[in-house]
Amino acid sequence: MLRYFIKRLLFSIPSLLVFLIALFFLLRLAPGGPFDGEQVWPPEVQANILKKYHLDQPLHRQLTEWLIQLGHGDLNESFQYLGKPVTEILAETFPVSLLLGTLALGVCISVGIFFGGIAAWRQGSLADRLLLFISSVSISLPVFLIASVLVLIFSLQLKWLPPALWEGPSSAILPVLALSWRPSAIVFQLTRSTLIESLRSDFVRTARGKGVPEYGIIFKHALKNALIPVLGALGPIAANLVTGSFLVELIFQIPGMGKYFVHAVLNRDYPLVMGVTLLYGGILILTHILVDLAYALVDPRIRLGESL
Amino acid sequence: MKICGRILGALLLFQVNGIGLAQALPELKNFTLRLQGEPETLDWNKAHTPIENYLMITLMEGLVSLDSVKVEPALAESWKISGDRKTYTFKIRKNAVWSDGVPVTAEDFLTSWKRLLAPETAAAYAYFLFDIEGAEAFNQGKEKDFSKVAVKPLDSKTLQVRLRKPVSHWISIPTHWVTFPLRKDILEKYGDQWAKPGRMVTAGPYLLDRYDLNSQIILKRNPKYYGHQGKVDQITALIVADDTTALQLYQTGKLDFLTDFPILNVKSLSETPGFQIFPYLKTVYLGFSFSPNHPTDAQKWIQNPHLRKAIAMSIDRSKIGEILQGKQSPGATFVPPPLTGSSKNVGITYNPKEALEEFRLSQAPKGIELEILILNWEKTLTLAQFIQSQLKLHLGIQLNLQPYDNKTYRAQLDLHRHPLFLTSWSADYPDPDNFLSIFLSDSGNNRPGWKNSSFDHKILQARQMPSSSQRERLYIEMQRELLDKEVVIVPLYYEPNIALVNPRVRGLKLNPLNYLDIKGVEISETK
Repeated sequence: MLRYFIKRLLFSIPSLLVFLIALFFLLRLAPGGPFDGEQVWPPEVQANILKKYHLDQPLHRQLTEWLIQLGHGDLNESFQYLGKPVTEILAETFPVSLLLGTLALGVCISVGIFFGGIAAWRQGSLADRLLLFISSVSISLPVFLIASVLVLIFSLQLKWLPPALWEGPSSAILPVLALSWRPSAIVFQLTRSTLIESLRSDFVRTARGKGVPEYGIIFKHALKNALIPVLGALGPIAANLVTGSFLVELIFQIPGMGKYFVHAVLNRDYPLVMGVTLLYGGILILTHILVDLAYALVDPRIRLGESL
Repeated sequence: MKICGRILGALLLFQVNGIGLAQALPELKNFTLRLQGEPETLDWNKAHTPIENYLMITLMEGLVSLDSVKVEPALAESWKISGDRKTYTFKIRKNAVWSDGVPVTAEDFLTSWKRLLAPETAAAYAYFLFDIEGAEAFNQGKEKDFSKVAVKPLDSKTLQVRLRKPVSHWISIPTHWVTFPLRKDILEKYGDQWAKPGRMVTAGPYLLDRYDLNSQIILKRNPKYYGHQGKVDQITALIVADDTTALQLYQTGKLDFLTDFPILNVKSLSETPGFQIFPYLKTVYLGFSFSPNHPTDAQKWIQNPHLRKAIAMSIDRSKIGEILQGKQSPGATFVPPPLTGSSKNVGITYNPKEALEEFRLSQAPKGIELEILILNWEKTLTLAQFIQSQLKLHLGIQLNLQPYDNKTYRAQLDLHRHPLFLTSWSADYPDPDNFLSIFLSDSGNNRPGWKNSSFDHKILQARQMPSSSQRERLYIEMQRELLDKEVVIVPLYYEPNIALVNPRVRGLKLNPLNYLDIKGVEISETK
């Protein structure tokens, strides 16, 4: 399994590189540069700035330089936060997003699968219909609305929880809820529908015939099979959650890296955009591989490595 | 492993912060302010955005400082200007020391100014020192020897500066943080990474204690400060990017001071305790593009002064304050009050009847379509929609809004592709020259691209005039040309600085350059 894992990891490097090179050129197509601001500097000052940050070099040379630095594990300095290496920015902000995202992922998996199981078990009941209604509404609600409503109720009205800032366990509750709200609904719906399907299959009928109690059928036998499509969806959900959400981090003022996805692009902070994308791409690939590994654990029919 | 450590760190920070705050609050007098975003840098040679404003002035001082718009002694207790008004000799305070106890010397200014001007530093505000003999050539790299730049320490406490030409406003230049002194030994030890807690030494009322990226910056009182010690022990600058979140933090008592909040809330907020309006040197204006690279019909029409005049006359600027709800006052001169050169009697006034007559004189066809370049911000969109409705109502002009994100907008401004644009100018130093010199023919900030040699000549003439009444007369005359005759721009409104200041806070000063003076702040025990 380890061999398979390493092999998959190595195979993903070229795709990540192609992706980054394309991004490098796409970024330069956006009008305006990293040092354009409210004021226009005198030409000599501008020339000094371009020279210092190698922006006066031809594009292909800038790219080669970036790739060489990447080989040395250096992502260059941010163009906006002067004197701050991109690696330092990521090292300081990613753990916060990772913590928040992991908590949200935990909530999303437990809530989604638990209620998905209940709804499938009691298919057609009032509880099932109610859960289905709530999840459908939740999927269509934008995260900033959920976050704002949560703040309005729990911070401004009830004054139970802080409206923003990252100061203690209580300040993580609302952002985790807001962040996991929509993915929980997605996981719920997926679990419910695949579970209903697998409850109709022969092996479940056999288990029932053998007298296995209903909760055992659902949470032990049927759920294991039903989890495969859920796992497939969890890959991208996990990558999105752990790299931070722009809106949730903005609304709750959380010092994570989510906001750089948007701000770095708007500020044309080329090194930071490249760094953030590299990390996100890496995590996306990693979660996909992990999901594939998890498939093998859930379904013994899947043999890893054979297709490679 | 490293990431695991970081996560553990993040969790620990949770604990430490939670407990730390709970225990420390009763004894520590803490003042919390909001920063709109992460500061780009705390390196004062390089800092150049308004976000750094509050911190720079609190951490450090220069030769002189600003009290409102008046220049006052700071690290220099006095200065002398020579008879030809070109040589400035500053006497540095004997008791001025850095936060580590080392005396502040004239050499520290030399170190800083050399670094500011060095081409390798690539400091945006290097041009602030260009009036000094030899400075521009040094920044261009034409002159490698810094001894050719006329900044000389005469002894450890005396600094002499010689200018190329007399410049009336020059004494306001060393109020700006880019000119604040720097220690050579600190620079040699840490290089460009000196502006961090534990490394930075300051000579201002506070020192840098802690910096959590994307979260907060904590300043502590500097016990070595030469002046009156601040009454607040600690300043916490919370980085809060979202306006609504900042407002909620103020309402829940987590912020003592904030500026910039959502536009629609200003009306309801004006009733809340702590609502204050401070003067601010910022003029928002409508500009016309004079140098179209690819002239379209609309751009050709706009070259006609009658059309520009018609547009200027059809905008009722007295309504803007009501529409934007931010207590904006209608613009007249480009130079905002209370600077010399501002006047209510200059500039085109609202007159729809005459506007129609001017429109007829311009011979532009009825119902013409014009494009206006704007930022995609809520406030500028609202303002542009107001102008759109006024031009439609009074002149039948169809104004098409072209909103862009900040960087694209700046790039479009340089291209001069749109006949009309909305932009603003806020002061770097409190002098009319800082406003009007942006319309010099060779200025990069001359957004309309209007060139007029007699205007250029007058700007340079006014710079050298010693008498302020003479200067004022010339500035008024220049603006009659710029606004009444040529109608290069239409000053729309002056933006005040609206702030929420927690009622427990007293003695807070915010000057018209948005410099926050926390030295005199007192915090009463009862919240």
